[in-house]
Amino acid sequence: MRFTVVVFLLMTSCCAVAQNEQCTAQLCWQVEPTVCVSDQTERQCALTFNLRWTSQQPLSVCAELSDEPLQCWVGQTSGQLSHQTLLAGPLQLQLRVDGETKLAKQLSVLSRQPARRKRLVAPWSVF
Amino acid sequence: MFFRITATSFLLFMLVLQQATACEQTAPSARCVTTGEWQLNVAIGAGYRSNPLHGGRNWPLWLLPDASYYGERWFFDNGTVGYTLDPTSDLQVSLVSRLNEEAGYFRHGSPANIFQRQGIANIDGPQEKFLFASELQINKLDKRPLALDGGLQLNWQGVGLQWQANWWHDMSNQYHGQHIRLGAAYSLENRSGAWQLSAALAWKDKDLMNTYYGISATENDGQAWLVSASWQPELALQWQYPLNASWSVLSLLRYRWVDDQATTNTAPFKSQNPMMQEDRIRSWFVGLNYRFF
Repeated sequence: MRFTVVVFLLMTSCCAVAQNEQCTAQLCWQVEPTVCVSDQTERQCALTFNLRWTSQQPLSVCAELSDEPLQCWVGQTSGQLSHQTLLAGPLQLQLRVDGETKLAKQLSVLSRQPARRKRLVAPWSVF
Repeated sequence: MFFRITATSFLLFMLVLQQATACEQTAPSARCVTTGEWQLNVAIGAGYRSNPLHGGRNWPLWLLPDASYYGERWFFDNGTVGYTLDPTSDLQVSLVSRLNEEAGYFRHGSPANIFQRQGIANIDGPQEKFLFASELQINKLDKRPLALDGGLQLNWQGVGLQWQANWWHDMSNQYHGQHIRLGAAYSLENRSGAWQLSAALAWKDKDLMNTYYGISATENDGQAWLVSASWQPELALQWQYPLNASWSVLSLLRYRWVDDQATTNTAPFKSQNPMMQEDRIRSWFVGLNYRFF
């Protein structure tokens, strides 16, 4: 398996949570974490995120990740889900109401170390 | 016979050794580099690379550079420019280009060359080797062309060994040929330093060999010499011992066998090529390496 084993979940403070909350006039949602931190330069990173949404009126809401449906709620004023995904790069998480995107967030990968590659030519090959 | 036993033992030794050398390891490795940054090492010391040609100048080695730059896909590494199709793949395929090294052996002799070896009598049988031998100094030969090679390179990791295969083709229409090289290297880092044992086998086609090592009639008083495609094995050992973050002791040793056989039209059995002084190239270097970045 080439995805990173060790994943650091970014711990968000109460203030960060407050900032992380995103609202339109009728709909609010909170997604955390949105960044997957890997310990190495592997391109894939396993991220488990939690999504919570609330509205003042009952709505039919669908959560989608890169246009792939994750879960839908019909006639609800709130909902939540937990989902694990492998991130090879930024992915767009969307909340749609009646097919229209109301809220969106980007899930991204952050590496703690700079990218490294194997040398393809032997060291000191001018020798 | 000695070479066959040595090479076989060496390959068997490397095949039974097991070690993971992937770049995921946090420990620094000479085979792993940070992308987007230049890596530059310069070693100062003593050594030389022998020249197998009569009148050819050995290369005294006082300063050795080791420079590379790896981007996400492009790379420059000690004179080789390449583009890797998928850097995350276990089997990395790269388009590569570099100058062909054969022309470098045809520099004229110099009295300053204190390492020049005189005489080549050895156990291979002087009667056969010198049947037609009449030493032909390279300063009597026409200039050999400098060629630009392009081709494909494959790198993969297997059974503790780093494998590399190259196919090179003359892109500059100088020798109109091609050559292939297959190599394997085993790296080991422990208290005694960083070691790398490697073995390689190169095949050079008839067009390449004749362009550089064939002799035309005008070069040799009307007697032309032809050479055929050549297999050239090679063994190498590197050792590096870190003294601190910037300085290390460096030792390099390489032995390459070349083809010193040729034929004439009048006597189409193989004899020693008059331009070849010996059938091997020896290289060694011992010194101190400074890592700039």
